[in-house]
Amino acid sequence: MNRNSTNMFYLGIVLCLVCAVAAGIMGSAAAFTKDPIAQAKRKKVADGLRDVLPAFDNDPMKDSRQVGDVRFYQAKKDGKTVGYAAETAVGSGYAGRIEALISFQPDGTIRTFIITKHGETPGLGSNAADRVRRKTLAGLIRGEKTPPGLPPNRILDQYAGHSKSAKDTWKQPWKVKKDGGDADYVTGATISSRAVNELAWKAVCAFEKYLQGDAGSERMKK
Amino acid sequence: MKLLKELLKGIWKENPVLVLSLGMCPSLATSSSALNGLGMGLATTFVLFCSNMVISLIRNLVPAKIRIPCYIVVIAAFVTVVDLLMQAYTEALYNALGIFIPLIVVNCIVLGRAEAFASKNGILASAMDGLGMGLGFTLALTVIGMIREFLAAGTLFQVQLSANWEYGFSVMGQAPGGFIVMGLVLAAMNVYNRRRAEKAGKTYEPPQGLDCRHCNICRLSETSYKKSQ
Repeated sequence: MNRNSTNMFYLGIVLCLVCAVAAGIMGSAAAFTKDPIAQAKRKKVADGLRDVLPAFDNDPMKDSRQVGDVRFYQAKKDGKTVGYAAETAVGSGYAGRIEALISFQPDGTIRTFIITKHGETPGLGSNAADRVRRKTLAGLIRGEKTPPGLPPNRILDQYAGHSKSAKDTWKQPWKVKKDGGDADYVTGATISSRAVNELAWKAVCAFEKYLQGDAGSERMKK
Repeated sequence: MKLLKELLKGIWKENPVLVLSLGMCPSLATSSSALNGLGMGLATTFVLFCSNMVISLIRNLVPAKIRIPCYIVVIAAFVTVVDLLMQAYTEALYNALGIFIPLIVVNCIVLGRAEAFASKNGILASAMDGLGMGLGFTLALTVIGMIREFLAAGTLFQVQLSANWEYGFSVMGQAPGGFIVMGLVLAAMNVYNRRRAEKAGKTYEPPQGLDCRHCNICRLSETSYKKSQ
């Protein structure tokens, strides 16, 4: 090969060759990681469902239905519905999109609320979204075991037990206290708290439609 | 022995972040916690190690005129592989580092070492240089990440050190804190090097183009200027 060539065609061919080899390497890497990536994504949803729903023995991934842009999963045990989970997202976070999983009791009240993806400011907006179990140095030395279940988060946990029914104690539509509603918010992270509130309200509204759709389809069957 | 020197120089004497001041953007952005810094450092180390070896292998084949595009293609290919592997096997870290993994392609440490070292040296020396520079980058990012994480949240590698740390110094976890900590670490490094040179009876010469003449935190250039008078 000529290292000092200035022939454009020769240079073009060499560059083409280099790119072709690189493309081959990238292509085989993509083929090799395709299944693990899909698996990792499925596992993330499955782990989230296991976190927010009570023990179930069906595959909620198969028992799922879309209402608007909210995806609902139904969890059953011994053929009886034990809960529902809504996978939803809003774009009104401080750093854009926030994704969440919200589970409901069979009676329609919120059971658990987790944020699965967000870009909120660490140490500020993230306080409204993250459930963090802090490990302490003293605890590690003493060999403390982490308690089971999800770590608490005051903002997310306040939605548990609420529903869209007329009996609910919260004014509808739900708002944070700063906007004249009933939901607590993190001082200095109002935008993040509003987004979290919007997620909950969106899921509750979609859940009502989802249940109506259920009843409707059963009537159709009869 | 020479190979070991190539490996060690990147970690301390020619540390890419703390001495050469290369790759500042990812260093500031991903050193918000010790784990993020470590992850970003190791991903960059892998890319540097592989790209240095391959570029050293093809250094006599590639026409001089198109060497830079060829190096970039090689680097980009390795970054894509790292990106896919991290997405598949370390999803949490992949989400935390986000856009900065693809941006390893334009990290000037990687192209800098390709052009300045790998294109002129053999494959073993280049591999060692890439590994050393990568480890130096990892070390700097992890140390800065540890300082920032401790100040912002009172934790190290997500383990809380004191029992009741309710309110952190949260600006340290964000961009301004990155600049502040980076500046202080660079200043400390310069003070250390100056003291060591003084003890050995020499005048410390700051690395070229990095004499912080306009910064008077450590009065480095002032004192060395007086000494030489």
